[in-house]
Formats: sequence, structure tokens, C-alpha cells
Amino acid sequence: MIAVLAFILLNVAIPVAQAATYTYANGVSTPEGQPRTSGLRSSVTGGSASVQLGIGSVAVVTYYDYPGYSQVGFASSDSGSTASMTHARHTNAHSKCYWSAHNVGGSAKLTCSVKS
Amino acid sequence: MKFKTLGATASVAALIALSAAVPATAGNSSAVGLEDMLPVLAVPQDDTDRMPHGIDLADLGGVSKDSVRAIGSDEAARYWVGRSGTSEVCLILQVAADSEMAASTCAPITEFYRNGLRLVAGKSADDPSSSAEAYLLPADIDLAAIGAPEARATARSVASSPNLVSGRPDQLEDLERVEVRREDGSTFYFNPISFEGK
Repeated sequence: MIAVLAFILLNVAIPVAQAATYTYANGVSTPEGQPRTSGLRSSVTGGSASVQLGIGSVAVVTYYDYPGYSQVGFASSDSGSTASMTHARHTNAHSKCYWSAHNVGGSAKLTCSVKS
Repeated sequence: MKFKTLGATASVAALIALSAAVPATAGNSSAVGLEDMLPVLAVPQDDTDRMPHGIDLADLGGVSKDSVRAIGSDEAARYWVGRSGTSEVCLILQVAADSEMAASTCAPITEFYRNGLRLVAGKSADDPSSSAEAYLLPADIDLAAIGAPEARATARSVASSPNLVSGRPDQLEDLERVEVRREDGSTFYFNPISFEGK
């Protein structure tokens, strides 16, 4: 009985309890300033974003869409790095990401994920 | 004017191409160890370095729990530095206004040598009171050279105190882009974050 419970705990309950990650942009060529979005997610606890570029910055945002747009979490860092964030669970929220470099234009490969 | 615009556009395009193509070993960073850039990482970890309960380092760039070192705090956030794998260094913060809000930036060590680490995070980009902004610089970069206030004292010795510039975004608006020439001939680029919430 104990062995069965241990098996269930290790192979089912604990993995389910860990955050799930959904990648909604995977190295996709994206113009400067154009957001990539995850779509409506039943649960959002954070996200991450990175861009293959030598200048500028990358950002990831958790938000509630219009009507009543509001941000509930954001993180931004250098384009040569990965920006990540975790926050309280938000239900029926969205994640988006984008890169910017003072309006130099062009496109860069953007990778973004949302955690739930 | 038209030709100047084309020339400027071409120059910017070239800059982007060069920035992306420069080998990661540029700037002699391979000759400088990470612990030379961040002496705090050479100090044994103690209880003051532990992350608060509820912050999952796996979701913040896969930072190694054993590598984390506390590097300061202010009214905006608490800050740590740590390693992710063998080639990346990370800056982590927990927002003071919301203890469940944490963020990180992780970059290759060569990038850290060249540009430092910079991070801004919080609840909303439109609300500085709920946000924090931080810059972590290699030890050889003088904060006075970039026009930043002196690093806040930590519990550790001055010798291992990291070069951390931090605060609310509205407190760091005067920071400007600066290039610092190093003794090895390379250039350190300090670029304040300009986050335009969208």
C-alpha cells in the first residue's frame, strides 16, 4: 500500500504540481516591437523571453486583455540574455513578448514561453 | 537628406549584423574568470544567501541553488546573483511590493563581461512603485565612470561587494549610455534599459 502511494506520488502528483511550460514563439522571426502572444491561458504563473540580437532589449509580459487591459507582471533585459519571471497565479490571462532596439527596425528570432 | 537616411540605415543594419556575429570570446573575457568579475561568488554560501520560500530558481533560468549569493536590497527589491550551468550568470530579484513576483536575467559570461546584466521587472511598466530595476557590473568597472551612485554596502566585505546599481525605475532615469575603456583594450558598454510597456 505504501509502495503504491509512493509510486503515485513520485510519478503523478509531483510532476503535475510542477509548473508546465508552453512555448508560444520558438525562434520565430519577429519585427521590432511586434508582440507574440500565447493566447488565452487558463492559468499563468510567469514566462520567459529571449531574442537573437546584439542590441536592444527583450520583454515578457503577463496581462489581461481588452476590455479592461491590465498588466500583472513584466520583465525586461538585454537582448543577449533571457528574461524570466514568476508571479502569483492568474487565471484566464495572457502572455506576450517582444523585442525593441530604439526603432532600428528589422526582424530577429524571438523565443517565448509561458508558465502555468 | 534621403542619402543620409539610407547611409544611417545601412550603418545601423551593419551594426546589428556585427553585434550578432561577434564571437563570444571577444573582449578578452576568456582570460578573466567569473569569480574575478564577481568576487562574491568566491565567498562560501551562508544562510543569508538562501532564496525566500516560494521562489523557484528552475523557473528563473535554471539557476543553481548552490551558486546563489545575496548581493543587496533596497526599497524596490532584494537581489541575488547565481550561475546557470557552466556558462551563464544570472541576476535575480524579488520585488518588494509583491513577494510572489520574482524575475531574472541570465546571459553568457562573455556577455556579462562586455555589457553587465540589466533587469527591470514588476507588476506593471506603468507603475514604478511596484517595479525594480537593477544593473550588475563586473568588478573592474568603476560605478563612478558610468555616473551611478556607489554600490550599497552588503553584509560582506567591501572587497567582495558586487557592483550593483538598483532601485525603482523612476529613481534611475538619469542613467545614460556610457562606454568604458578597459586596461585590456576592450570596451565595456553600459546601456540603461528603456522599457516601453506595451
